[in-house]
Amino acid sequence: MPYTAVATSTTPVLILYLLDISGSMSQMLGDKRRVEIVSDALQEIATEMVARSTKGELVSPRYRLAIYAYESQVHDVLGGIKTIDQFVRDGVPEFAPRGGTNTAGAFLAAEQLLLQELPYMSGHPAPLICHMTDGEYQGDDPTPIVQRIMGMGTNDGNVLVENIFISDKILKAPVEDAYAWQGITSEADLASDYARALLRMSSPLPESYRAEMQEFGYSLLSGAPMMFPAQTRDLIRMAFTMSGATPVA
Amino acid sequence: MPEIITINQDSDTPARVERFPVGRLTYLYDRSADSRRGGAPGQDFIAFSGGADWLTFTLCDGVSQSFYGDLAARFLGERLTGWLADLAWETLPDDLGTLGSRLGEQLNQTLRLWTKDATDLVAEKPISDLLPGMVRDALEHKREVGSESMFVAGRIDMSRWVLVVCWMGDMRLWLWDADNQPFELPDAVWETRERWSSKHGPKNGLARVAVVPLERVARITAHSDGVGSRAPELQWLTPERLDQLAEDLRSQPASDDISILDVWLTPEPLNEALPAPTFAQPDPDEPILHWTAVEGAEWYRVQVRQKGIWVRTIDTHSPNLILPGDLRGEMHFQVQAMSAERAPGELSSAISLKLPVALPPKPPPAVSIPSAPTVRAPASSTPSTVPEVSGAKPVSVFQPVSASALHGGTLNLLAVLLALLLSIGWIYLNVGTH
Repeated sequence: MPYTAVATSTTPVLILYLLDISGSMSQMLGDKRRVEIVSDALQEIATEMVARSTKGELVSPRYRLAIYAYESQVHDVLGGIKTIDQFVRDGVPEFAPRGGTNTAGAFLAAEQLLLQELPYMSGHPAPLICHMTDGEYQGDDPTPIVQRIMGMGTNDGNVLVENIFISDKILKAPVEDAYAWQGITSEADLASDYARALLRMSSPLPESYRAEMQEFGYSLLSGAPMMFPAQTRDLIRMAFTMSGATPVA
Repeated sequence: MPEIITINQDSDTPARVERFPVGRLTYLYDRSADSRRGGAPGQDFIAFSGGADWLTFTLCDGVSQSFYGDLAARFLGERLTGWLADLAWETLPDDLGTLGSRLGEQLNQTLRLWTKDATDLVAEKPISDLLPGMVRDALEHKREVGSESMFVAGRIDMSRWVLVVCWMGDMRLWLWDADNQPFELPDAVWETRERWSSKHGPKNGLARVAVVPLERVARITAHSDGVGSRAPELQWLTPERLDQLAEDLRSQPASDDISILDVWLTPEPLNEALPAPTFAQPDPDEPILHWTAVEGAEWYRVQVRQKGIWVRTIDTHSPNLILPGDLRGEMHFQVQAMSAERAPGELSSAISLKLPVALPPKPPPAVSIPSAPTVRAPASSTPSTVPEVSGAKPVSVFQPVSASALHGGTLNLLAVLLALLLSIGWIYLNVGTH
């Protein structure tokens, strides 16, 4: 059964964050800049990953993380892949928004990383890419790259691609309660062509992830696209929680 | 509280046999590979207690996603073993069905009452300041949730001729008949989500109780879920096979703590007990007990009491013991030599020690375990190879990685070269003089 391999210190899961830090990320969302809310969410999920990796006070390296922040250029924020215990020591980086939105570049870098790592990940949980953006891409269309990535994987399953779209123009009807929301059920729910494009670049939610999200109080349906309208902090938090929902030992 | 024997959580106990009036006890405690590498305690727990015609036992599996699952495992293990040992049979019905229901009600009520003491324990548990902030935050968040554990516990009672079993969670208990064939515990359901919580008591369900007449029961085996799919191998159980099983499981990616306890109901006369060791006079400045070795002893058991009340037992393989750092106040110790083939050894005279004594500085906690060796390419930094979109030069938009790592590497290289030069010089001088 796919997506049931558990993350252990011997078979850690690889989570790759692709974070849009283009100039528009300095815009406000509520009382904070979008980029600050993303940093906060990253801090929260990192703490949650630590909690899921901790037995007593011992942190087992069950997660391997890479963060690519992109604008016109793509930046390897952590200088490679870090295990969660290494990440804990270094802390969550801060970002300074600028430049354009080279989404294709970010996914291309992710593809290259996966090509390097996947041959050594037999028995590991399928990797997950968590992509966060607040606007339409500039330059090349990332769709073919993402489709290639979604065809890669381990014997646990294909690489999962999750998209978080910070915009209030995604859904025709806003999400009132992040915990009661079951996910996007059809393209008809979406309000823009780019939202529909992102939907097609999002993996269906595996049952094991749905069960883990249920433990956090969320009501997503199995098979729902892993695409989240990040209109509120609650939704951003839910989306980042999803990125850490690989079953652990 | 009766004397309760507890198996160390912070070390591994290879398969061991002990004799009790009701039968032969075999048990094993093995920490996960992660815990071993990190020098951390396991989160399983084993405890047992025995009298002339009864034996109680508890196995616990602390929930690692809770706050220090080993804390709940120990607390619950000790309490349950004592509760089963103190069953007031005269107040309980004879009919087995009604007995099971009544015990279930009493147990669930007791499990809720214990949350008060357990919550205090959780609140008092210190978190080291030396841990990184994110780890402390995660642990404090866990503290709000509480400490949790699954359990399976039982009482073998020869006078009543019954086996009482209680459990929550997905630990396992096997019953074997006189032909060593397994049979089911009637109506047993093992639910992973059910557990005891220091904050709530029974969680995601109620504790389950079953009462089984001993007529058909020749053997009982309880184990934690770390045994996994290898459980059927417990049918033919020897200490050697158990040790091999533990070694095999330890090498698995999802290596988990393993606790196994097995009771053969074979009342047999016990061989003469080993004589009592003699304590050496303890140094009041050193938290270590020493005693004379006893010929034939396979291990030693130290009993700890405070104001006449049993606190715990601690097993050790050598005739000395470094005292645990959590003992406080005036403590009284006795030690006995143990062997699989003999009755429990004679108890030594008691000595007293006021604790704590001066302890050596504690090293910083091992925050992370060394990664298990794997054959893989080194994790590489992958600078962007994507053509620039705008033509602007790439600029750093976050704090750059410091150059200290490179600088440190250069210094290491110089140290190696210097050592090499000195070695060559030493060799030259020595060879030259001959």
